[in-house]
Order: sequence, then C-alpha cells, then structure tokens
Amino acid sequence: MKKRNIKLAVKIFLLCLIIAGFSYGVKIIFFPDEEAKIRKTISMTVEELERKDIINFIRHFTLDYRDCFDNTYGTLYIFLKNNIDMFKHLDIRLSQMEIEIEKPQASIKFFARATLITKDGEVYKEGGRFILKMRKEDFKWKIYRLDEMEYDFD
Amino acid sequence: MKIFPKNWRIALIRTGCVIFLLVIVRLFLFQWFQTFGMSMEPTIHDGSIVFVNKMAYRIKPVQRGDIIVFRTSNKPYVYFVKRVIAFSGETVEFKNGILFIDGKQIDEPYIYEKGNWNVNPFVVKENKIFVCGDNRLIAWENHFHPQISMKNITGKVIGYR
Repeated sequence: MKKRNIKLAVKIFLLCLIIAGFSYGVKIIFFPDEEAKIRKTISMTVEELERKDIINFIRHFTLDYRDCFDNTYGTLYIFLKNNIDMFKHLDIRLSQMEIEIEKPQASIKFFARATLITKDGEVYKEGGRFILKMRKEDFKWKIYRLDEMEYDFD
Repeated sequence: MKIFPKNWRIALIRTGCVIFLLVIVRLFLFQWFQTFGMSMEPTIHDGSIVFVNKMAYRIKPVQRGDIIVFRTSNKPYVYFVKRVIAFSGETVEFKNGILFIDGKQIDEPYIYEKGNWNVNPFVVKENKIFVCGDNRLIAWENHFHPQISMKNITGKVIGYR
C-alpha cells in the first residue's frame, strides 16, 4: 500500500514537471517578455554581422544612432559596406548581459569579445565592456546608442 | 555492471558531498580561466588555460614578478592576467625596454625580448599595485597596464597550459 502511494506521488510529480516545462516553453515561444525580445534582437544583430548581412543588420539601429567611435547610422552602414569583405571570418561573443528596462527604453551592459580574421590571414582579437541603449520603434527594439565602459579598479 | 549501489540514499548523499566539495573548491580555493589576447606572450599564449590559487594572498603577500588574475570592480566583470611589477609609492621607469624601480635596474628573466619601451618615471598610487604584460613587443600605448587594488585580485596563477 505504502509502495503504491510513493509510485503515485512520483507519477504526479513527473506530470507536474512536464506540465510546467510545457507551459514555460509555450510562454517563451508565443508570449516572450520584453527582456527575451531584447536578447533575441541582440543575438540576431550579432548573427547578421557575423554573416555579413549588412542590410538586415542595420535595420536594428535607429536613424539617430550614435556610438563611442563617432559613428552615426549612415557612417556605420557605409563603413561596414566598404570594409566587411576584407574579413574572412568574424566571431563575436557576448557574455554577462545585464538588461534594465525603463519603458520605452532599455539599457544593456555586457562584455564582448571579437575575433576577426582578414583575407590575408591576419588575426585580430579585441574585448571590452559596452553599454547599449535601445528603445521601441514600430513595436521593435532598436539600438540608438553604444558606449564603451572604462575598466575600473577602485 | 551496477552503476548505483543498492542503497540509493547513500549514493545520493555521496554525490551531494562530491558536488558540495567541488563548489567549495571552485568558490574559495581554485579557479581556471581561458586567456584571450597576446599581452602575456611568450609566457602565456592566447587561448591557454590558467589555474589560479585564490587563497595564495591570504597566506603570503603579493610578490614582485608574480603572475596574477584580477578583475574590474564593477559588473560586467572582466578578468585580466598580468605580472606584478611595482607597489604603492615606488617609482617606475622604462629605458630602452629595461625596467627601473626607484632608480634601480630590475632583472626580468621572464622577458625574452625587451623591446624598446621608454617611459618617463611615474609613482604608483597609494594602496595600488602596478601590473603589466610580458609582451614588450607591443607598444606601451597599446598595452593595458593598470594600477589595481588588492581587492581586485582574484588570485595567483599557479600553472598554465
């Protein structure tokens, strides 16, 4: 009798686990929250840059975009269009992403490292901490500011 | 072949103990990092794994020449591997790639190519440690050589491969 009860409890527990997992999956796929949308936008932006798909990459930026390298929407597009074919391989990895949302804006801090191989075989590696500002335009999160964060050792 | 012993409770407790021990070791004793970049060449190559003793400086003070791992004060944390060069109040100077501390020439056996750094004397700030990479072939301006606090230090590098 006792053994039967334990088996039943285990079965109920497993059933609850499956229902919870399924519900979570449905929520993530069909009803993503703003943070998930931002993460997806950033990961798409990185993937498109790695694929050298500049047309789709630039769509994630607002027309008044500015960054710490003195780029605007226009100069960024022209720079990439003129130089992207110099690279044979580009690998960008983002980590420690921290997202703060204050609608309709969001601020994202992260550590990025990039490995770039030119067609001549030269390898460049760079890393840095960045702060990305995004806002909603046409129901989509778009990047309007990118700044590098200084290293602090206080 | 039996993977789990008959008494599953004992197996569970044993597994829990092993996981607990690993977590303790990782949190307080040892940590490993993969390096990115060439500032510590030729001592530590790009992509190497470095093993860090996190307790080292709780027992002994930091020594000149130690290779350490340290991190930024605020998130997102960035970890760096560099060599300890000078301490608070010491005057550092480079003449044709040769290091001088408080006017005395310092022997650096770990440097294979001295390069030609010429850096005007500067004093390491109070409660700070001056660290630098081993790759002296990279120009001084392009090198990252901060002055860090003790609390930024994660630990001493005890091995790398």
